[in-house]
Amino acid sequence: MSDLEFLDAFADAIGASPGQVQMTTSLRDLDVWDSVAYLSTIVFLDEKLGIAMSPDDLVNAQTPADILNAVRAAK
Amino acid sequence: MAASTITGVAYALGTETVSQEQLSERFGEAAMQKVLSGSGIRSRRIAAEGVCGSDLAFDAAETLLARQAVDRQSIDLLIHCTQTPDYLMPTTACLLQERLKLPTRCAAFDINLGCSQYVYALSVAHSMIAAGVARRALVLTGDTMSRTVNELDRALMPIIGDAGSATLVEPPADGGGFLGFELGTDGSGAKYLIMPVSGFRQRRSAQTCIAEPDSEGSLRSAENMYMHGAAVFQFVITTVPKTIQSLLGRLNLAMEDVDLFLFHQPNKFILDYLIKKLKIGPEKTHIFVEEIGNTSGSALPVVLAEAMAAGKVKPGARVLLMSFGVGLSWGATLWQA
Repeated sequence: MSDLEFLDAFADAIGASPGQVQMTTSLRDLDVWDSVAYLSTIVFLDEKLGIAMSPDDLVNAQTPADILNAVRAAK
Repeated sequence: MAASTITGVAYALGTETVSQEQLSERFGEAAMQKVLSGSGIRSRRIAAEGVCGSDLAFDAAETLLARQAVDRQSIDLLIHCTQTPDYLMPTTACLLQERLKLPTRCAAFDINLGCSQYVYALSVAHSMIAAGVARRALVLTGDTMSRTVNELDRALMPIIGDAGSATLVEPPADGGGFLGFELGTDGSGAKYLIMPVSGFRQRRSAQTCIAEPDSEGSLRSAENMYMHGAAVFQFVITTVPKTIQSLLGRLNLAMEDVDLFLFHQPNKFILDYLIKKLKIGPEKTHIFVEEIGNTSGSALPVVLAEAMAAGKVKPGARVLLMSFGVGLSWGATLWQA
């Protein structure tokens, strides 16, 4: 999965508009990033990519790049 | 033949009901609609003022002992599971031994393990019976976790309920029983479900009771229960399938060999997701959380009692019981009815 494909799918999963999310966007600065977006991210990773991040990696992720790095490390 | 089995289960819920309408008045309708759509919990049962978890456990035990005409003198093990004890000292199980008029030769102690405590307690009762240390065990759960949640915590307050339960564990009369247990712990996740100032590591002070808002507008102090819901959800969907696979693998059984899967009842969202992920049909599980809330360590025995009442636990059926949560810890057992 390319960076762009991941970003589009991730943005869709958390309800962000296309282009709103870049690799270095701070998740906490996104207006849609709340507890529901967290859950949506987990479901997206589990269902679409078959990846389970560790709870620590999930909580420590600051940007989409952090999540993608964890996904690639888990593969 | 297995060393022990479950021969009866009863439960008692908190008598007060907190409705969706009441919470909407407190937190706003939009916020509570969001919680409802995420949790599926429409109402929760809370213990009345002054009622402790041990009172709920006591009520459940009295119901069970009367219903099954149990000779109290025959009980030689009382395990009480709670995270909201009457006192830190003495152990609440000792008080329950006296209240329930159990014999003084009855061993009595508490297990403090929150959501996963029921399976742990069953494993201890089973092991003590198998070792010949006890012959007939009363396993109680009783918690008032609603007392630990800040009244203005809009994430936790709407999902937490209070309950107690009683389970009789003894050698099976005609087959069945516990076929195996699988227990586990990951203390690295302790920080995700915690009451930071609740013991002796961090002492209470004038500052620790001051509630502060979090990023989503919930208020809580360091003395209240805190949960990172996403981290716990991540832990659950990772750990539960692995544990079931491991337990069934040890027993040379497959998912199809299990007649009923009963889980801790955190909320409907997690349960629906787990059931879908595990490819379990609705007829092979039971959910009882929407009207009572997450009753912590009592949730599993409560849903077991409900499944029994619904006729889902037929004689000889293989029932997988699994609980998970604070610790982080988890436990699963395969029980043949």
